[in-house]
Amino acid sequence: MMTKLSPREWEAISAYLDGQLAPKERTRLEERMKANPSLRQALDEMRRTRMLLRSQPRMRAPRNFTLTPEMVGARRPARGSGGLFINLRLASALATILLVFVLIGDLFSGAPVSYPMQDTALTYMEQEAQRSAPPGMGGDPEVFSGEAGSAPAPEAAPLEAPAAEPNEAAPPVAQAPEPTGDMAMKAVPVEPEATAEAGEPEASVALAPPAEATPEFSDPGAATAAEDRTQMADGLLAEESPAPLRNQPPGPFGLDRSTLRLLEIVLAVLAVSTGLLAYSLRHR
Amino acid sequence: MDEAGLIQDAQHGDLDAFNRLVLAYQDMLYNQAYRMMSDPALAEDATQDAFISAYRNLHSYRGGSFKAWLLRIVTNTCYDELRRRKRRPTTPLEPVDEDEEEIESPQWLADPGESPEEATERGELGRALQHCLEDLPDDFRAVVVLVDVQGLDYDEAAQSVGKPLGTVKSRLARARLRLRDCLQGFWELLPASFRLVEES
Repeated sequence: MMTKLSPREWEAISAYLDGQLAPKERTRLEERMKANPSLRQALDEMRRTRMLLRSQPRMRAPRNFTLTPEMVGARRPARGSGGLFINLRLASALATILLVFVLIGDLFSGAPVSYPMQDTALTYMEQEAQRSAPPGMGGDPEVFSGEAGSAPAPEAAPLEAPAAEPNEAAPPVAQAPEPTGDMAMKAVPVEPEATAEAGEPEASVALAPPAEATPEFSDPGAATAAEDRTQMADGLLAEESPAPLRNQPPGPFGLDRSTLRLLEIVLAVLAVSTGLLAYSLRHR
Repeated sequence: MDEAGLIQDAQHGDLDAFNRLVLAYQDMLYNQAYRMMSDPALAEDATQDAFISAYRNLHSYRGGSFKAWLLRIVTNTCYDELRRRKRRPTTPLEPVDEDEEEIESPQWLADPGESPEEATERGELGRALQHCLEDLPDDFRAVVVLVDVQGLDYDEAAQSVGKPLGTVKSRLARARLRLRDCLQGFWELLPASFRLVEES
């Protein structure tokens, strides 16, 4: 006659058999088994069942289950190329991640879009502004700060002595990068001459793109002069070759625009080439 | 065998390294599959599929018992096949009589309730046990085979079935209870030598 116990009791006995009961529970069950023969019988029955299962011979596999490359859907890689594949794949992933970061930084750097033809007009207008700007007044910070051939740093210029202004123009010119040599070099000698002449204080209004005009330099009279200069600049657009991107504000990480573009191209080429190499290795 | 080294090499795409692991574990996986499927051919298919799946998913192995990880794959493979067969019952391999009832093999003939009691030799014992295992629910069967046939501890069994420890304990106890009921009366018919092993 089979022993009848509750599911909880059977579970306790099963765990006791495998030594899986906590010490307190084990002690409690042992005391109960001393007093209850049914529990002892249940333990015996479960022990025999377990032993029957454990007595079964272990079957040998009827054949080898080793895999072939065709089974796993890949060609056998050349010996020793596994590490190279991993490294190439890692290089491709890193290059892609870096490219994404650079692109995001470029996107959110806040620099206005500038086209080469506009740069020519801006260069002309810079010259005009420098001729007409009074000593101590700088140009539009968004347009001029930190670029080769541009006006002195606008934040610092008002704080400097007027006599220092011409000299202020020179260091930025000398220090800033010259990504496209000719046009940048042409602008350099012009800038110091322009800054030496005092002129209309509000000229910087016309220097920035219309959307970028700074309020501090607004003046109705200057607007007319600015329009004139704009028209003159437009006429120059057809005559002069495109200026380099050097007049743009710096991009993220302190790099100028052309260096940034170069970096983006290099990262993109690296990501694609290493990815293709890894793919070709894998499927060779 | 440096198992950790082989696993690492296999994760880097070294199929030869993985095949050495296959040779080491194929008996164990085949046993599990056979006890789950109760059919040698189905067990072979499940074992092969499990190894292919294991190789393709090696990146998901994050350490711990590699044995338990492999057994989990083969157990899940068996579950999938068993569920598929229940949804689409296959033509019985046993012949049918004029009443369209299966003509079962001799040891289960006429009275299924008495079949385990008729088994008296160790070969018959194995068949009786397998018959009783087959009557268990799939999840009960998996646990009792892992613990009592394959020799895993509770933690490894829990890892293999992907269930908490408490669930494993409960299913194991209930599986053993059902097996005890299924094998009722059969125990007294065992050869004396077998009973002496128990008493020693």
